[in-house]
Amino acid sequence: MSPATPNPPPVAEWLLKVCLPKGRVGKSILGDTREEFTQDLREVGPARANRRYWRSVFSLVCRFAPYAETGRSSARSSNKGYQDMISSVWFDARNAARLLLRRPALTLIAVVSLGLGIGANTAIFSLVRTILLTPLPYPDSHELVELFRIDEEVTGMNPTVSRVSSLWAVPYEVHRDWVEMAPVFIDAGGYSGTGVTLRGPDGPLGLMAGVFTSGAFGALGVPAAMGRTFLPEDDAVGATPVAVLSQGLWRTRFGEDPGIIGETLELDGTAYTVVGVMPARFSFPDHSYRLWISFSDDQKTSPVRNAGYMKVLGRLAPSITIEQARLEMAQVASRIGEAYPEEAKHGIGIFSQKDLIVSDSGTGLLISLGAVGLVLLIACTNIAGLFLVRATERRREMGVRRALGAGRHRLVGQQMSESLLLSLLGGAAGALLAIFGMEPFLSLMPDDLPRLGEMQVDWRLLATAGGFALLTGFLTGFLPALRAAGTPITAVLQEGGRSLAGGRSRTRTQAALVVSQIALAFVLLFGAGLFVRSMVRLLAVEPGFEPEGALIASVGIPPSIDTWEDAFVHFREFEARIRALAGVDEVGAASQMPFSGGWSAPPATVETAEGLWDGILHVSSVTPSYHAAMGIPVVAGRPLSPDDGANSEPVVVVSQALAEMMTPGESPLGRRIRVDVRGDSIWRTVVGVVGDVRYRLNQSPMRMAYAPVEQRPGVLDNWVVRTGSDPAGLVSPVQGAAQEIHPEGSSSVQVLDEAIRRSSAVISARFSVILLGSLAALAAGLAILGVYGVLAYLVQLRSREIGIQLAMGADQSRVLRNVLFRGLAMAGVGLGIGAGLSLGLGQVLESQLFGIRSMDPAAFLAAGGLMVGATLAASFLPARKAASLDPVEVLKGE
Amino acid sequence: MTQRFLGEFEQMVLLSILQLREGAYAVAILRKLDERAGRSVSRGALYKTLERLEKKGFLEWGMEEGAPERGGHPRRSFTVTARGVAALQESRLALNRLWEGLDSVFEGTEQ
Repeated sequence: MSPATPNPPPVAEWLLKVCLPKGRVGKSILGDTREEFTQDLREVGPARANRRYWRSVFSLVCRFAPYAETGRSSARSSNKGYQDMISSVWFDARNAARLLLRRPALTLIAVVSLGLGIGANTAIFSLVRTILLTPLPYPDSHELVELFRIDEEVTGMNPTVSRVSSLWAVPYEVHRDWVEMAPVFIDAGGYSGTGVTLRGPDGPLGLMAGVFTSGAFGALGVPAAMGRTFLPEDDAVGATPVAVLSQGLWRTRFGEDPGIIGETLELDGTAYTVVGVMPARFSFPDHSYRLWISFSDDQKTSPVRNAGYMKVLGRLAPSITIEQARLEMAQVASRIGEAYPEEAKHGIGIFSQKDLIVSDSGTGLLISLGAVGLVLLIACTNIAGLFLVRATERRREMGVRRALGAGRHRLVGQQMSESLLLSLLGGAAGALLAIFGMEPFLSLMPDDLPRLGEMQVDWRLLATAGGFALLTGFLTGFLPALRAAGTPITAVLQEGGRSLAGGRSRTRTQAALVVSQIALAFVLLFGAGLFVRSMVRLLAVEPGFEPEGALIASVGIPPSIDTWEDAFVHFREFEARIRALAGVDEVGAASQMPFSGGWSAPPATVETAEGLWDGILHVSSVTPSYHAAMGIPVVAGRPLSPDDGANSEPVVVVSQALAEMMTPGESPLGRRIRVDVRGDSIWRTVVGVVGDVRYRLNQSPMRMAYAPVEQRPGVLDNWVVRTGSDPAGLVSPVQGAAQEIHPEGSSSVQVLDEAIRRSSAVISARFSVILLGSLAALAAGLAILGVYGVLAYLVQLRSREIGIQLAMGADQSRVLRNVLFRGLAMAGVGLGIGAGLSLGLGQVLESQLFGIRSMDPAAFLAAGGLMVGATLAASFLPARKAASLDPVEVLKGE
Repeated sequence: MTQRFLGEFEQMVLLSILQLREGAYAVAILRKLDERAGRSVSRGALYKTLERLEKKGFLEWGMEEGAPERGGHPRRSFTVTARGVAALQESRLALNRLWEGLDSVFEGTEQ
């Protein structure tokens, strides 16, 4: 061979060599193919020559693979067994493809339903893998823990995130004690987050910044891509403020300037020196944080020990377990309690970083995975049913083939190859669905689902789809295959063309499959029903204020304001501007507001009927008109008034829940509350009681105290504007007013009703309803198809019997009733089993439901009624067909 | 004799081999079929037909040494046996008899 001649595609040539008969004939065919390729190279160029070569190889493989062993090989080929296997697999595959193509509609339905099942499973499983199974993107992330202050009463030996309802942030001073006194960490440090404005030649830019100590960077363990992260020197009082940029910010804002290290940034009027740039994959706490800055000297030197704003990250030493760390930190807490008696009531909670990030999403995701698993199972059962029909149709063929010497394993293999081919097609459809459906699917997910940014379509997703496809293939093919291969030869051959006995036993198996489908579909319908009812309850919750006709606005404060007096002037001016807008009836503001941002809860002491109560209280600083603007009713006493100024008697208004705790059944007016804020503890007198308010729809109302902002200074960045007209029309005027008073600040204004509908509780509930609802509909549809299939087959099988009955004068309506009764009997058994399964399911769902019990009778009856109705509808067509059989035609056909 | 009856494609293959005389090997047969009959045939189908014709005793083959453009692989060269020629002749006569007297039907339809 001339060395200049290019070779044909090596894979194709190898395939050809494997499939062609051994010996000279095979070699000559190989030579023909090569010669054709050489000619094509000369005449049409390499690209088309390669294509033609592949086409040739494909046609030859199709012809020769099943017969590869029939070559005139003079010597016995050493890999004969291997070739036998290849050729029989090939033969089965071609045979299976032919059988599937012969019934294109049926094949299409099967591939689509398997595709839906496999696609949904692949998508949800990929989500579970990303969120629950993949380690966090930090080195040795299992060693990462986070520390919080917790109430002593809820501290058990082994508290889990979901059992501890309140995790409190701590101030710098307390964080320093923890880090210095704890021997269990390689590195530990505190962090918080803040919004900052970056000034520069391109204009101001609002950014989220992580505020970090060097220990927090050390615990995360990710080195900077350029420069460095923070050093212990940066934590010292008087150190130069430093900043580390994210890769994204460095790229977009600084044009990947390699000389950025050592440059100065102006953030909110303070100059920070850039010391490093993080690698692209680094994000903490999440992707919205674009840079990390050091704590200010004010924060580092503040003696405050009770108002917290920092979380503490720690990396456990390799030999230390989280339980050991809990014991050590309990000792640290008691030593702190000795030094500061008012802190003795607090413990230190340690939780793995991953548990914190995925906390509630875990259960929801596993429920989704279970639901899509059930749908796939139903689809498998359905297709197994189809194959059973076919296996019965081919009983005679199988019997004859066994009589002629076909091995049982060959027959099983052939049957299995059909289901495997079908499920691989379904797997391919499912993978496509998962790849192209991922984006819209993710957009349906609740926003607060963690780690969604890490989700991606990759080979693991395809491997998942492939795995599900193989599993499906075995599930759908195994039973029919065993049945077909296990048929006794003589029985089939003696039966002749008609087989009632075999048909009946097959009908029993198929009926059992349908019963299990009905049971599984019922479970899903019941689950969906629970979520629908739960969502209806959630939307019907009275939030305690009037959402209609109100806007809420989140408005920043100019960084130039640094005293409370200036802040109050700013607030009053903004309030006056809003009041001056046409259509505004009332306006108010609060430091914390429902459905808008988070809240803080400082420790407090309360005078109750049983003496002093110590604990944590939710306190909001408000303007006097806040309650009127929100539509929160005053139940007793008086509302706050503009006369409650900085120099008058300190007062407070409490919520009904707090009033009930203070003086059950009596008026709390005149009793006092001491709120420990910024080190000063003053007693405030209760002058009024207002209605309870829910901050989240799915949470019960919190015990709230409202203090006038001029007596308890706080940042009023949440405003509420009430109007008698359409609130949407006020959005841009309010935005304009915010812009006028703070041109560089960012503000967000939305209609309050909308904010509630977009709140995470509602979105999560809606997601569950959509997901489970559509899965349940799919499952019910598949089950109904199954019922229809069994009955239609039964009618076909017994048409002779029914024909004779009719000929003998049987009533048509009785025939109709008989068939309907069979359908109902399957539904009855299925529902009974489904009800049993649902008892278990309810327990799992309990934590995800709102306002209803897991054994909700309405959902139960609705699911049962739906399933019975659907079964009747599916039974009706075959029943009518049976009743309208013409006895003469039937008997003639026999 | 029924097993002597030739299918249309079998006739075409045998005729192509006769046309080619010397050097009737697979690649050349394919080309001839394409040129003369306008039939583009897959290689797999051709080999299967050749195998069948050989079994029926209508053709036989011998091996020639491989050339460089064939990657050194040998070449199978086919010849039609006397039995093959007889079968072709029989098919032709049968067809001719069937065509007889039908000229008026096809008048004007031929170009």
